[in-house]
Amino acid sequence: MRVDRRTFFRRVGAAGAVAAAGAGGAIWMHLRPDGLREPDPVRIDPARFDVAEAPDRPKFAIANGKALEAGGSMASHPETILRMAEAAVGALGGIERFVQKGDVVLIKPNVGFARPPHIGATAHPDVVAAFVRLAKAAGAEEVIVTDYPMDKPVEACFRVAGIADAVARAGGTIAYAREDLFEKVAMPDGVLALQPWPMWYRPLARANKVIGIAPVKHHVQSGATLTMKNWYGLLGGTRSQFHQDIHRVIHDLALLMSATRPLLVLDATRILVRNGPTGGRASDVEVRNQIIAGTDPVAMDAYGATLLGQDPARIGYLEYGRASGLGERDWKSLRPPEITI
Amino acid sequence: MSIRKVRIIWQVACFALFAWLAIATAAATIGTLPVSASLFLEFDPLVALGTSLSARHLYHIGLFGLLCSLLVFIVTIIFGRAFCNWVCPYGAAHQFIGWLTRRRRPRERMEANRYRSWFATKYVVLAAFLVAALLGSLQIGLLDPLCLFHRSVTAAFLPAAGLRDAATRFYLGGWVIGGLLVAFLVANAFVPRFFCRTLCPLGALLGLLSRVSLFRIHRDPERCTDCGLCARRCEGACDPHGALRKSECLVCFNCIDDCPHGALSYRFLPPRAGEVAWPEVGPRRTFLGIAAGLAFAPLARISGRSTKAFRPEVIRPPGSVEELEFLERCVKCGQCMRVCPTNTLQPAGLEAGIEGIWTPIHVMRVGACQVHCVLCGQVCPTGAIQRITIAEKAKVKIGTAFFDRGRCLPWAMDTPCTVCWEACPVSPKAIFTTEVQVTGRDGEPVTLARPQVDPSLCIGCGSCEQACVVPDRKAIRVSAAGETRSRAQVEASRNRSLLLRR
Repeated sequence: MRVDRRTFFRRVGAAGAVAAAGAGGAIWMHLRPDGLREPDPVRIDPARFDVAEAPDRPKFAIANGKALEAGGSMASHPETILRMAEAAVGALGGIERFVQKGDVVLIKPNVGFARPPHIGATAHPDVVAAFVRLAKAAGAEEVIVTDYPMDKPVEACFRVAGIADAVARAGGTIAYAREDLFEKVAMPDGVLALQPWPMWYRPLARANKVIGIAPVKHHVQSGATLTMKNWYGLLGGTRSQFHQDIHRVIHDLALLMSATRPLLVLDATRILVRNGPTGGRASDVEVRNQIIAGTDPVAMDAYGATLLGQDPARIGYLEYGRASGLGERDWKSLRPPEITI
Repeated sequence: MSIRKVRIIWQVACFALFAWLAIATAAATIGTLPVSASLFLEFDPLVALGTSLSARHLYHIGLFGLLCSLLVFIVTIIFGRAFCNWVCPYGAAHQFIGWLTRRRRPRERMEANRYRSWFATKYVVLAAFLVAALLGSLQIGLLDPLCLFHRSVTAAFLPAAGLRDAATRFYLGGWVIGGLLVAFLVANAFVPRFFCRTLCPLGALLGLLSRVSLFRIHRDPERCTDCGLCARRCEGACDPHGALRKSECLVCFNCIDDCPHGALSYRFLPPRAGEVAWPEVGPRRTFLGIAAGLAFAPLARISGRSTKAFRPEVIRPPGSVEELEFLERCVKCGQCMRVCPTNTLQPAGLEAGIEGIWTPIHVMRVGACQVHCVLCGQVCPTGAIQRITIAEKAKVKIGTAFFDRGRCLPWAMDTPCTVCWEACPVSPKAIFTTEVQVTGRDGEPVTLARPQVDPSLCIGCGSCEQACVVPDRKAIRVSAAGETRSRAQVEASRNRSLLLRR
């Protein structure tokens, strides 16, 4: 059988093209990285969070809301609470010390449970709204509010706690945590309990200023949950296993987050004095009408513990914090100013 | 504009309404709905008839509830099975797939739309279901088109499509529910409107009612040339070219458009002489259907799963009536599973017995029951889950948590934990601890808080089971023991019923 040249080249060419494509594809697939290697953990870069030191300013300040007394902070008094927030931050140097024009501010309140505000298990929506408004007034380009709650789904907690509405009205946005977007974050030197751990890091990656808002709550396991434990809401993975060494972990987390030089807020408008952290009865909650703002987590948490009638010397994470130099446990010695609105 | 085009627009609008409700029936958005989330189910006459027979009760949530089905009933008496081709979203889905996969040659389409004797199966199915309902076992939810479609969309379609809040949800056994949906839809490629013609018990019920319908398809024998072209797009396979089978006619109006001689019309009180009076079921098959229904109900109860031999995993949603009444009311529509914010409500397999397939049970490993949520009772169309307030829910116990001390860290592994204690949402907490000092394996002293349950305070919400760090079989698990579902709740619902006024 004779094959003419054109047919020969056409058919051999087609066979060769298929062979080359298959072989090329196989070789390319072979040379690709196998995708099993884990990406490097993220590092929080303190240089991004340039909050000025102010050695002449107090480490924390207390604002008392006398004007709230009549209605009690169970009802909504957003304007009074805004003035209290302003006063407390004013004593530290004003919101301008913490937020400048064009900043992206991350506010991390406690929205841990799908419970209404009067149960006292979550940050008061008016307090969260107040800080959103303060940040916006100081020129923040974006104010992101986030938390990764214990209860699921995430949006139910923001909704039931009244925070979704309050933030929307104050002009902020909410970043709802998504487990598939968690990233491993490297721990700084000096941290013993946590290795690189999956965290809800995404909103923090975009922010250059951080505000933490923690309600003052009794906690069955750790005694009290205040500004240091508040960062727990950024932890992902199987964080429940940390309860096996809870005080060490709380300290390490606070040490990690201190790199962001956060403005810390204790929401003592109403405090959960027993059956925390979830509460459940109105009788578990006491009205205090205070907002505390500052930069020293150990001192503020020691003060918060006394509000709950607890001895700060008996709280494990405060001892770790004092020993590591994270802050000053003897809060009285710092002489925090008290302003009454 | 032909009446057929009006029908198409109306059908699409109803389907769009169904799709919107299916997506919007989620915890975050249900408060914004202007109509009941279970609207289509409330208009379903089979749900109304079935529950009336089994529970002797026509339940209502909101203003009218299942009484709305009277509207469909009246429409059927006047117009015939117009519901099937104008409103039913499941029928619309079948019609659409059938249209996509239609045969090209007219001759083949005419043949595909010829009546088959096995289309009478749906009447046998209806008879079996109604007899079983009369004996107290409500199984219509298995094949009722609206219950089936709601359940399939909730448990299979929305999670698979990853739409909105359903993107991270899953439903145990959802592959079976989804598989059935796909199978029925694919069947349209072989027999157009397979489900509607062969299996649909609601279609069968409306078909029987069509006997007295006032408006009917009429074929003018003077104009008709027996060309058979009217069967090209006949949805119901009702033989408009011959003796009309009114019980099969879905009022699609395709035949009227397709007749080249204008011989077909839709008329008020046309002569019924040339029609097939009743569906051709036959006494033998009817008897078999009735016998199946008679046999099913008692056979389903002899395993005792609904009573004394109850399985501890059968934890019913808060507000549920007690089990025998529950099985008389639940139509397996999956609305409660759809709206539940934590995805804890799952379709049962055989845990609640054969009658309980696809009824809702809590799986606390998937999610806990939020204390401040009563959404499931608000969407249940039949009152299997009663509508209760959050204050009433505080008195409801859906089960009790039990520790597995062989797995619990402070009990079995000398390791501090007690996340369960922290997570317990009631006040005072239903979990309490006792402090002990033990010596660890390394000789070091360890102070442990060892948790226990106080069953008098535990509401069975499952927050502890959710929080427990033991990843496979949790060290604290909720069982249905101690649930407060009681006769009192059923009495309360009877007092609000239409059939038994105070």
